[in-house]
Amino acid sequence: MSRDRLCLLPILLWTLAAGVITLSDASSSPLYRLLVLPLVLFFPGYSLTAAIFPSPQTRYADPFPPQDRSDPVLRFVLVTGTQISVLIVQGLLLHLTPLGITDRTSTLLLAGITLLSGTAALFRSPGQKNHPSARLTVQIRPRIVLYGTLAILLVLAAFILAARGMQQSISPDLTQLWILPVEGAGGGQFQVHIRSLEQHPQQYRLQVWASGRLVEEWPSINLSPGESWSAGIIISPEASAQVEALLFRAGSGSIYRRVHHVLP
Amino acid sequence: MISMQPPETCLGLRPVVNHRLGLPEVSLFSGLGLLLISWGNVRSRSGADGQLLFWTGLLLILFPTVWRLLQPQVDRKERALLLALLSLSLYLVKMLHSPLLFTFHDELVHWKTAQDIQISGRLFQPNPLIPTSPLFPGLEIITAAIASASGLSTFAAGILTISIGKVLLVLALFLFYEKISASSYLASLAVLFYTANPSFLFFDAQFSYESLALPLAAFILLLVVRDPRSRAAPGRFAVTLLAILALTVTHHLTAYALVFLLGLIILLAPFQRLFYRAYLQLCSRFPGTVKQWIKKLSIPVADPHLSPAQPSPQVHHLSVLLLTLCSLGWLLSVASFTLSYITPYMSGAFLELLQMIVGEATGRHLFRSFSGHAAPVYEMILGYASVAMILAGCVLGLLKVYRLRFNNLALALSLAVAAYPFSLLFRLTYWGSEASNRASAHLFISAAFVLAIAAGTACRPLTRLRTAVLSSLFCLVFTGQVIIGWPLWARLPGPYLVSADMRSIDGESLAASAWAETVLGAGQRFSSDRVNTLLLGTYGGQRAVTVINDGILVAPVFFATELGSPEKAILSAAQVEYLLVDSRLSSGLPMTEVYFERGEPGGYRHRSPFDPAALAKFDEVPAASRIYDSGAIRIYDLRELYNEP
Repeated sequence: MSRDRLCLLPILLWTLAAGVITLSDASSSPLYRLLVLPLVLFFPGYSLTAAIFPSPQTRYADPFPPQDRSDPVLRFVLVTGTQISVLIVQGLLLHLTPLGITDRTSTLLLAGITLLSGTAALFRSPGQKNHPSARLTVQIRPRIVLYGTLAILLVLAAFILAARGMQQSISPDLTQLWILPVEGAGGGQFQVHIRSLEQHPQQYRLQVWASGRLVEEWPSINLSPGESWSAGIIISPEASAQVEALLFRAGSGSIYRRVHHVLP
Repeated sequence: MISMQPPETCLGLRPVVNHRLGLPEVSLFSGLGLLLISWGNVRSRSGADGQLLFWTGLLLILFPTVWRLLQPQVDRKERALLLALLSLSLYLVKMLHSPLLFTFHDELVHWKTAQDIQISGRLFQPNPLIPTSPLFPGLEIITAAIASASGLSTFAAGILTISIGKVLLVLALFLFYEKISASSYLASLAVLFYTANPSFLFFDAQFSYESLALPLAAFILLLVVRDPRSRAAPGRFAVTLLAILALTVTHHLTAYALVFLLGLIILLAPFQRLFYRAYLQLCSRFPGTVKQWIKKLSIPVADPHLSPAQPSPQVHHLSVLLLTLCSLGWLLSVASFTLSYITPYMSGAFLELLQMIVGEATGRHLFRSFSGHAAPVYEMILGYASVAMILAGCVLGLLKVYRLRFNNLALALSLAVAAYPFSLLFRLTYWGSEASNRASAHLFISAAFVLAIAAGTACRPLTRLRTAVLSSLFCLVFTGQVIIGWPLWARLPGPYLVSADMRSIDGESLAASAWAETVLGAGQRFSSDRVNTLLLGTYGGQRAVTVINDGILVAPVFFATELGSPEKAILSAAQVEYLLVDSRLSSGLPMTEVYFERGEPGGYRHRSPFDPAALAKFDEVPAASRIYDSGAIRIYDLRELYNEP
């Protein structure tokens, strides 16, 4: 049996299963992901390539000579290039339909392409054995295994190192203070929020001022990293045009954060 | 496939047998190189110098690969694997720069487009950050499909997409060059030189439409170049058409560049006889010593694959016509906005070049930013040396191409290299420098071929020393091109820098954009500086107000020392609801030359940091509420401003 036939049969069965599970509305299950992912990454490109550029020694001539088509490098390029092109064009086509691009429509269209082209490839393939050069033989030697494993480990170490470094640099080390009017409560009602994104527990002091007058004060607010705090304030709109909240860190007289809001 | 004799018999090379350095060893060196680069990144993030580790790591990836590819006895499968390994290793260099989320400017823009497709199930959702991005949604369609099917994040799906594209690019180019040169040895060297283009390491490795369009273009190149003896094959034409459609909707410039390249090849191919005569006449006018030198360098090669009996591959004209029609059709019917996006850069660059020629303009200083940042001397030397070596290699390669009487397609492709030095002229202009940089990814398709001919046939016999010299020279070219293509501050991650794209994205900016989405809700009209606008418009889910989309430049509002009527009029016209002010803008000059957008007051001419008083003025505006404060970043609610009498 030719390599194409050998691969196409399980691919077609897999695609059928993916189509059925898509129609059965089990789109969040791990089995669904397992079945559908090859449709996005590989199957349509492979089956289309098999249909259009069948294995060597067929009666269908095309500009890639038969010995070319048995080349694994060329086959990889043809399958991958076709797969990428199919994915893009199917997205365009789905956009033009009222159905739009969804997980389900995309999967079903890709399954349809795979089934059609795969079936065509089965009929085109004469069932002869491939040219020996078509076989991608990999000789597993201890040296390859050892160096390959070491290389993968080094890359993993590099990734972990880089990821940890980036995680540290994008982790905020700050405190957020914000003030917003209470929705639907009318003028004069505000909510003040503090969120600590500091690396260590912090103690704060919060003052609320209106028209140069201290309206309210919370002398000690303790927040651990990631914790939030909020409080409501009511200010008479007639008494002031603006409300201001000042945040201090414990033991410091200078303003750490400041927000203000105009009264409607 | 073109059956390869051991190249030493073809090219008169004596094999430098080195069994200790094969693919497994090269992969180990690459892994080690990546670890060093990662270490360099970590050091750089903490403010220490990571440059030495970065360059050492890069050389550990490059040198063994080049050394191995220069070995004549390496078979073509190993060559293909080495190129795939190199491509992935170089992609990982970029990935290690930001392994957890997209931080490059264009990446964020395309991330938004991909997200919009996933959420809405429709293409062409407006993207105010770069409105052309949704008009060319090829990359995002694939990313969205992979993300939906796999359950991966858009970031992870994007990484997977670009990785596949990178391998496809080098292998498709390898097959294309092999088809033209009939030599896997020369083809692998050509791909190697292609990876040395200034955009390969960073710009074309980011999650951006050009990064996927280039592999598609290489795939089309492979499909449209065919053996003239082959019969018409509708199936192959169908695949070519699919690829053409895919490229058309993926990236504008790559499609146009491919039309240009293929058109040039088609136009030049019939005139090869004339060009060859001209070459002979030129050679006859050289003085004797130069002639001898050329002759010595251009020893006729007894390569059976280069024999005149082999038919010259041809470009399929109908496919090129279709590519042209599709690109133009898409541009005029769907993506006409692209014209207004590209035209200012193109016309500005040509105008500036003309002004320079007639002495009306001075042009820009190379290796020096407008705001005065100068590259270190060693970088300047490497950059100039790299360009000089490429130019010299192109001349040498071109002579050899003619001397060797390659097929017409090879000759035509080689002549297209003339566009490369022309593109370098635009580096001297303010408007064209970026375009020149970006064009290199396309121009190197022909330049790499010519350089491979020069390198592949120059040093014979290929001794161990000459292999080492050639490998070193390639590394020098590569590093020089990286220096030219990507600024020093962007090469490695590090502490905050003003208006420096990935270097300006830190915890505080990300926290502010996340806060905006969580607390204010998505879709509020926001205006801010370059980087915070980008973050708000993407990770923050806000409606960023930009001049490219809204036609109103809000930047003068930030630069003004007080918020007067003109500034209020701008804000009102742009319907800005919220302003995000980052006080760190006043801590330095903008690395990207602008604090906000092209066209801002003093843009590309900033000599002093942003005025802190200008940023603080919003606190004095009675109708502006300072609703958020995280230290450096403040957010103002301006909606009451428009209710003022």
